[in-house]
Amino acid sequence: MNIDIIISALQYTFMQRALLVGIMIAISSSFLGIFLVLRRYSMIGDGLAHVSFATVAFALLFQQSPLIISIPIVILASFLILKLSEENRIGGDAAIGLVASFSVALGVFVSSLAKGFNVDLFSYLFGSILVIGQSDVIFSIILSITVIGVILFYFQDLFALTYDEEYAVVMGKKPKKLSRILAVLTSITIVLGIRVVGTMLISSLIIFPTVTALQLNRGFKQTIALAIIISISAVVLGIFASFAFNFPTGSTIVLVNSAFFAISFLIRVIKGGN
Amino acid sequence: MSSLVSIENVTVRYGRFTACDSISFEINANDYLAIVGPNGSGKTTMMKTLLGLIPVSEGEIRFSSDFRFDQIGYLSQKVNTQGKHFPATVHEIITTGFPSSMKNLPIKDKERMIRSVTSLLGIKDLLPIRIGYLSGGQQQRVMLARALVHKPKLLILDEPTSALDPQIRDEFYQLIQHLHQHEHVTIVLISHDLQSVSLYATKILYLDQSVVFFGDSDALCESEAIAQRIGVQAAASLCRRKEHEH
Repeated sequence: MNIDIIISALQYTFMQRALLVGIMIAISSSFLGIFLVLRRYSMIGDGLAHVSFATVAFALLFQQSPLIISIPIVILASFLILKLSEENRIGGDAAIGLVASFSVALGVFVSSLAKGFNVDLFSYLFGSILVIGQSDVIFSIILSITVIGVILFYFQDLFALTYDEEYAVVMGKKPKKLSRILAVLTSITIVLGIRVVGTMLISSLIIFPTVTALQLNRGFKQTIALAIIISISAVVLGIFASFAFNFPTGSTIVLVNSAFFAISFLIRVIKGGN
Repeated sequence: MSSLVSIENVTVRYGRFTACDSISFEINANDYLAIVGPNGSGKTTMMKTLLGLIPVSEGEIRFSSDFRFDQIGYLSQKVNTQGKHFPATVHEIITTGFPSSMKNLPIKDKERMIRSVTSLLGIKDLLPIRIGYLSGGQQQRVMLARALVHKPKLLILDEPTSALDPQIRDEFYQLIQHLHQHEHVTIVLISHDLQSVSLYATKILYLDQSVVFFGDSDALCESEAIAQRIGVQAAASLCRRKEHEH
């Protein structure tokens, strides 16, 4: 992949849109990722991605925009997961499993009812950022900026809660409110991300950059900065590689992220870090 | 002496189990109160109830009108709750000690307060270092800095020396003594180590689900109820140590 390919790729509107949306979602998902990974909530992202599969199937059935239909339903599903997790008889992982498997079953059932949109559904399973429309671009940018803004506003509270929930409560933080805010932000990010890498791979955008950055043993803010740089690099490299070599974009982004993780893990092991 | 907190006939139950039964005592400004008792006596439950973490089943906790809840500092017995791999520097950890009511305080004021508390505790040089790289004693000082950064009037410490070796434990008690005498912080210290805390505390609350003893620490070794609980010899030893201190 040489500089000529990059320059020629940038001439295309669809590439400009893909890069713009991809970078915004890379920032919001990796910013959110550190709170989810450190609070052991990573799999909520995966569970909500399964929910978004069902909502996309419904949206396609009723010929509506998957983004607009999915966001409120995925937010409700995230609240349902939180509520079920608070029940003593249902653990957090079991709650995610219940909601996720029900949603996939529902999505498959709905897609079997209406023949003809299975090709569209496939594009949402594995992403199709190169064919993103202008309205989705604007919607994605506004929502990504909103997610980043809300995290910045609550940053200190979320950090305090992540480090020591009991102490955060003594200091007047509201864990239930903050958990719900995190759930809403995660839901929005998940739905935005299905355009980039698809419902099957979206949780990787949240988990990989953070876990890669965590291998480098830095402070909290530095880890976030590293995760954002890693995430943007993976999205940009993935989009250009898929353009140059005709690879599927979503999976290429995830594979680049996997390579970054393998490198940082090896660096830590070689340096003898524990 | 003005009362900061008044605990009146407080009972705390977990289902059918009564952890604290009709407990009454007062915490006055400039007290150094040690809450002691055997394991399972309700010390930590009482402390968490004071902090609002556990609801009161019966009774009432009243704070004086000029005392706000955000003027409490708290040091838990768990040091560095997230383990050595948590990605945060000492500076970042101490910033979590600012209560929500100080959210809008200018950053330069917060930085000044962080510098002040870390200088006081001798950990200023540790600010850029990751919490997981520090020794147990250093981590304990960082947690104390977090509890003190917002300049609390009342500092509540839950078994703060349980994970420390004896030498560092003595240093820690002296540090708390310094805070009490020179910074005029009211101290509530939860401990099962009656022998050690009775040397420093001005008041003792001995719990065993209900109040066994509450009063000046000087009167502790003369209490029949305490002698019955800990044994006559141990009570006599307390008296000898007290006399030696004086």
